[in-house]
Amino acid sequence: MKDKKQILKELDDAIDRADMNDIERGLNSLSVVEPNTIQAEDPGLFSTRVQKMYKEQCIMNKPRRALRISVVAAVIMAMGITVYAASTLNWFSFLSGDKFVTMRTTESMTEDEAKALVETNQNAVIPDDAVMETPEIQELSFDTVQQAEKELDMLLVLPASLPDMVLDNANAQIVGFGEGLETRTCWLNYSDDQGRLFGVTVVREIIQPGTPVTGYTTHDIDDGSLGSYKSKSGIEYTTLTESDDSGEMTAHIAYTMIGEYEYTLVFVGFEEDERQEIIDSADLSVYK
Amino acid sequence: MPKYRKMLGGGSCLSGKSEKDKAFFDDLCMSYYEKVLRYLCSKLDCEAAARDCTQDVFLVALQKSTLLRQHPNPGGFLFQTAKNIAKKKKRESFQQMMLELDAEDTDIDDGIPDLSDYIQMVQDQQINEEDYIESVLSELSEEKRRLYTLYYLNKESMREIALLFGVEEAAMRMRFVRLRREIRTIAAAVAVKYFIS
Repeated sequence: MKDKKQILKELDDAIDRADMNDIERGLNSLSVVEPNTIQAEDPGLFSTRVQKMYKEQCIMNKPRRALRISVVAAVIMAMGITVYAASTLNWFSFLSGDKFVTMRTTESMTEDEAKALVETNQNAVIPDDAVMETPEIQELSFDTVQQAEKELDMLLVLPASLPDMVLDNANAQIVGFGEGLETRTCWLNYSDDQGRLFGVTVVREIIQPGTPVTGYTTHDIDDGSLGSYKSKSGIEYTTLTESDDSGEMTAHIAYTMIGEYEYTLVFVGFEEDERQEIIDSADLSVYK
Repeated sequence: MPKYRKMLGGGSCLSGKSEKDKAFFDDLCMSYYEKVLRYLCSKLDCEAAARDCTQDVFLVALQKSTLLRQHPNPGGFLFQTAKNIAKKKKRESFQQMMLELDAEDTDIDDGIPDLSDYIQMVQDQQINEEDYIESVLSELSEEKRRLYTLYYLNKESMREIALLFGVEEAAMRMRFVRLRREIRTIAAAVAVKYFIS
């Protein structure tokens, strides 16, 4: 008879192979050598509890961005970065360690200064006098893209070569930081019966003239995946991939920044030539 | 930031999740919750830690539910996630123990090399770190293994553990000092016996 250690080893091997039959067999064998004495809660109650917890986590995570913006402002002062009065929004994207960073700022700074700012800010101690704004957050969902455009008052460009896919959901988040800054993000997610996924994410930063803003967002990306692609209309996209924890599903992402918009296309299950055709067919001239 | 959240998340909060996602998640819990919990209890030898980790597994599933709905084998994904989370939990617990050992032994030279040297060797040689940690812990007596589990995996306070064993907290702290040193000795022996070529 196998002991617990052997069974767990075989079970782990089955998990690595994602073989559900062997996993079931392993669990049954475990029950023989180690009778189950755990009181599992009702799966329905467990599901409700986890969903509630997830929602609470989301709420807890949201103020981070406000914090980051406030701290960034303080670090700018501490570092003596050259700051001019500027009203246009400058965008930067770069790697910082193993993170892909996108930064938007109304300040005039070089990319090196932006990188240094992010690096310093990772370890920044929040100054006592930092102004902490609590953002106002609004979550929305829509039935159609047109409805989203109208209610969000933002342009949602869809590539002309959009594959034959179904719109799974159209959701948005509006985050307001005081009077001067509002960020509107819209996610459009499509899928088809082949299991492919396609997403369009559009972010619009609305900044009132004279409001100094510097903020950045970090993303986990796959090592060595950062690249670029220039579309036929001459728009430079940053390309990267993100994989799930199991490494089985990889999203190819093309990202660009124009005017007050961030525009991202996400592909799961598409070949490179299909991706490029779709990217080329996105007319972003309306964002300029 | 969770992967896909910004790019593809379809709304970063549950209110943004579609009804399809929620129904799919309910089904996942119905089909796999008890099995994942069962697996993690055996894997971690600690019910409280297993419950926490099971929760983490399903939080990941919920976060990725839009993508997971398209996954050909969501059960396989859940168990792979459970395995990774258990591995991480064990590694973090062991590392915490090593840090405490290093902190209390800075002035002592008992001829036994630093435990982190062995861990480093294991990592350098790309040996299965989980097997190594398990081999070390399996050499402990049942009671000492329980102490390790209560403090490092279950995160019980020293006071609570002392109460459980009916001893003074100071005496329990001393037991842990001895436990950590014993683990270091075992780790050295296990590394030499099974892992260091």
